[in-house]
Amino acid sequence: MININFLANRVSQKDKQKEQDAKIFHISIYVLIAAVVLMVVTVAFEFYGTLQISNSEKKIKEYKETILAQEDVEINYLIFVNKLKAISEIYQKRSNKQEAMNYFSNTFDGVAEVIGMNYQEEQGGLVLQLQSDNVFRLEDIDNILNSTELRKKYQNVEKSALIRTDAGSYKLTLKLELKKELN
Amino acid sequence: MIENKNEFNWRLFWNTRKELVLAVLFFILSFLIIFIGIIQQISPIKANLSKLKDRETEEAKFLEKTKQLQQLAVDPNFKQSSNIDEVLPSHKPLLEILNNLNNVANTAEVTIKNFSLNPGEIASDTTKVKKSTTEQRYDYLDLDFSVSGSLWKIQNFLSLIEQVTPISTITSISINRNIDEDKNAQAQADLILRTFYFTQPIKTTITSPLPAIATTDQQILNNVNELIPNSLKEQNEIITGDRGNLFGIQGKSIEELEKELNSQAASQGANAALPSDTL
Repeated sequence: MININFLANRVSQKDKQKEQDAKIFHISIYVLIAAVVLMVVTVAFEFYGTLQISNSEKKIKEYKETILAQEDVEINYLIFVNKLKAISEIYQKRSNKQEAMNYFSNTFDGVAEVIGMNYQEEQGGLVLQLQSDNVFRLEDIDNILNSTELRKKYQNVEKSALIRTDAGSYKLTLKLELKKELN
Repeated sequence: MIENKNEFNWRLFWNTRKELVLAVLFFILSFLIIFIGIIQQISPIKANLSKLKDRETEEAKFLEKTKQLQQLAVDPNFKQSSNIDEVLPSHKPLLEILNNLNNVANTAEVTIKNFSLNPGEIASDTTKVKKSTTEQRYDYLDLDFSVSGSLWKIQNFLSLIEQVTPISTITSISINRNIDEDKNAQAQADLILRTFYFTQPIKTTITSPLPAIATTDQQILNNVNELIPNSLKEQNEIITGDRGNLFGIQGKSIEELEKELNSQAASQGANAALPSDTL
């Protein structure tokens, strides 16, 4: 008796299909595991972010409280800094008028008398009036005015008027440009 | 029977292709997880990250400011703030100017004449004497006066008056000296002394950083330390003077005072009438 298996093809086809299904099943498990892991990572990341924000907000609140507690110190400091800036502005407008007055009084001591001074902050310059007893003293004044030492200190000294009085004395008016104290 | 054969046999399919069915289910589940659990979470995560970045920036700012405020306690520059307050007070320094003028005139041995000052409303710190722009940090009081004395003494006065606190600047000088008749003639100087005071309103927010002290400001601090401090003591209590009872009515009630005055008036009247009786 000869046994003929009419389902042989069918069985091998079924086995193939089963193998293929098992393969797909394994792949689906891997995909699912990967998806679950990714989801856990995502949720954990989001949770970590929220936690970080919450921590940061807590710290900000603490810092704000510390800053507010030191509000008086902050205002005093701001006043201090702004006052310094204001003083700086005031110093920048100041000129060395006293220094110039003292320098010219000392330089012409014994040669001429300082009989007048005029200074206006808006105009900036200093006007000096010198009186010499005679023409020889006037020449001495001229020599001093042309000296390198004086020119080094005051570059812009202008002789603006010269008057001879009835008594024979000479009145010389000088205009000089002043430097600012803070430079 | 034919109808039954055409109908799909789910049970047979499940028994023969269980793995495929499960695989399909897992794929669907995976898709749902990816779509709901991951893709849908991307935008909230992005928003969270951006929020976290903002918070961290804000936190860094606050931390920086807190550190700066803590450092102020040991800042040697800030410790000089009382000196700066003396140099540029936040009130009109009227009394200080008058006190300085008196002290410096005494030290320089010059005489002050023709004194004029327009202090505005003295009681108010914010009242401005001269109109200045709102941007300006300070205002000033101008004092017009004349000083007389020898020239070198006037020069000494001019130097000293700019060295005392509160900060003052001489904005106008006019010195005249007539030596035609007398060689030792005294000089007369007409001066305008400008004394400054601070008027800038201070605004700050919790997030605004503290300004730093520049090197030029550091130089100012050194200059300020060289100024002569004002000798005027701050008066913060009412001095009664303890001059005693000027009217002699201490410890008496109004009734007692009335009685005393009436009896005094009666005795004066009796004394006035006495001479006519004696005649």
